[in-house]
Amino acid sequence: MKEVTHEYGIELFWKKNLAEQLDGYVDGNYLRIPQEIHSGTRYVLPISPFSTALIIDVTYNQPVTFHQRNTKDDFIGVYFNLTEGEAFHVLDKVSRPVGRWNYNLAIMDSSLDADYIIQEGSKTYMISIFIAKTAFKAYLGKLPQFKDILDEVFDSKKNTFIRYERMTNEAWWLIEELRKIDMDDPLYDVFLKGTVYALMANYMDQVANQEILIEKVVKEDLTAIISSQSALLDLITEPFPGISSLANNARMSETRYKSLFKKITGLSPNVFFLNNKLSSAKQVLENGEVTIGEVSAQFNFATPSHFAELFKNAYGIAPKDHLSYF
Amino acid sequence: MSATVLHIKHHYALAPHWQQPMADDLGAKLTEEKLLELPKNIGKGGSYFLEVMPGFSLLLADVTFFTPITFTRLASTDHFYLVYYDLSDEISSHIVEGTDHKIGYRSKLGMGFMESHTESTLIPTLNERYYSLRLFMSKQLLMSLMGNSKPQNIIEALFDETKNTLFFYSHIDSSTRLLLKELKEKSFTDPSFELHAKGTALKILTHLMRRARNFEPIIQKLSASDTTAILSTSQYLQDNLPLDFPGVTFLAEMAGMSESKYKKLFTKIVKSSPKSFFLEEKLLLAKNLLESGNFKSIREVALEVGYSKPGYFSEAYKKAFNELPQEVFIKTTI
Repeated sequence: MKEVTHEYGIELFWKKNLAEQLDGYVDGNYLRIPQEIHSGTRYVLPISPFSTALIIDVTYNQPVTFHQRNTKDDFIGVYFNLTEGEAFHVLDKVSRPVGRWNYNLAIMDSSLDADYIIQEGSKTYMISIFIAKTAFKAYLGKLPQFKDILDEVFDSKKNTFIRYERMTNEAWWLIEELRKIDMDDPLYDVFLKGTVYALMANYMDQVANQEILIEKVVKEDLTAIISSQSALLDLITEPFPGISSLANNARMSETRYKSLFKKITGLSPNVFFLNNKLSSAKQVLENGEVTIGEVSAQFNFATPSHFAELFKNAYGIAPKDHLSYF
Repeated sequence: MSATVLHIKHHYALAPHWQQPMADDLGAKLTEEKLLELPKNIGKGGSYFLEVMPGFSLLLADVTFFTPITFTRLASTDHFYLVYYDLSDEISSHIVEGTDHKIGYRSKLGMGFMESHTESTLIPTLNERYYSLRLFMSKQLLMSLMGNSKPQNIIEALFDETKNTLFFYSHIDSSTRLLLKELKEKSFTDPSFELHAKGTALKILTHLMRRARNFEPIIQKLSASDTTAILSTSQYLQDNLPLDFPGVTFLAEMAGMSESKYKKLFTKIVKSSPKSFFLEEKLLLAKNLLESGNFKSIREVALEVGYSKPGYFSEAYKKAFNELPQEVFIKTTI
């Protein structure tokens, strides 16, 4: 197994080290990596004086553990990650996988360390965009909800940028379109720049509707929350375990636990749990041969009609109408 | 009615400094060398200028003029290329003057590509929204994006102003049209607008280059009078789509050129021979009429655009759009 300790940045000083850690070398915009590690391409392109993009389109031929340790804290990484399957695991401080990766978009402050493992055989397509905090600040400053708190949001003693979420359909389509372009054509760079601007515009539109929680976060907080999410998913048929036991397991105060959970995922623990419960229940229903009453009981909803109501709120259709499509 | 027409003379440049004199002449407000807002007595809306990357800038106009105005773009001192995309209906119908109700049709080419040291004049229609994107591109950038689509010596000759004039008119390709329609939904003041505009401009540049790479290279200098003559014949064709093709002899005479010179220059500027251009436009008009819901039968549409045999029409239509007229036809409900 390969262990890689590396960093990113807006300037390109990190390319050589990353290539060498992966037993490869830098060739223009490409990092050439030997087949034993992974097949496919790593491509780095400066987009503007304030941003750089890294395209990873590879299949791993052995497991690789990445330790991201940035020496620059002046940028934010926006990672659009289309890794297939359950190949991507976040690691805790003793390098144990703590959770499956259920998100395909991550926004991370460069001051945060990250440790993760990618399994052998997994296919990854990822666009990473490194944006100067100064440029990010100028953009966020245009959004009304940031107006009064902008300086606080960008004060690294008070706040860390961290958010895991799902990319929008538009973002997914933008990336699919880029994937069709021949990388060796000089037009690729133009199209890639266009795609990066479009993805950032799309992300800005997404952020415009989000609430901001100002909070300092370190890597241990992050692993604690991911681990807590995994635990919640393992209990998906049970009733909600309650904030106090969850906070206790995460070794945090209830207030801190709730606020961190919300900051990182945009959802409260209850809503996260309910969303996943409903989505699992929906899958069981779709697999057939169970009644709505049985599913309701299996997932510990108070009554079948309560389940039906929550289902309808979430999916806009009553479970029995939904079933009639199958 | 007041006959004073405001005449604005201006030039463009890759850098933003050209905007201030224009703003002064219009009495417009210029913010951050980006956003130009028209005074209310002249019109609504304005323009948005951005330097996207070295050698590449965009200018987006979204305006409705209330007062008659003429813009003359003067030759620029620095050399670069311009392409514009006018997002308005490509087929328009109007009542022919002096008749009771005869309807005339006209097609319009929404895209033009030219060098910055030529002059041109624009007279926007009053009280109508004008939405148009212009891209300014350096020679170095365009040359680097030709790839290996053509031998290097041909690429060099194409971009050598002493040997060749790069100039053409066309319809906007559908991918570009789609991107522009999405951008049109957004306001210049949206927080994410600058990012959307840059993304759109860069993608449109790739569509432009893909098309340009496939053009047959006709290396030739164009004089202003040649250009005007060719464009007046193409407009003649576009204004008379229901007629039969008038013939190259007639058109060349109209342009005051030999037939061989006429055909060569027409093909250089319009990227089709006069006859295929005319047939393409005719069928585009037919497509619009078929989808308009104003006709009782396909036969009626075929007659309207000058095909007396519906079978022949269907065949030509299928060849142009890869579908049969009946697949898009909407019958009148009256």
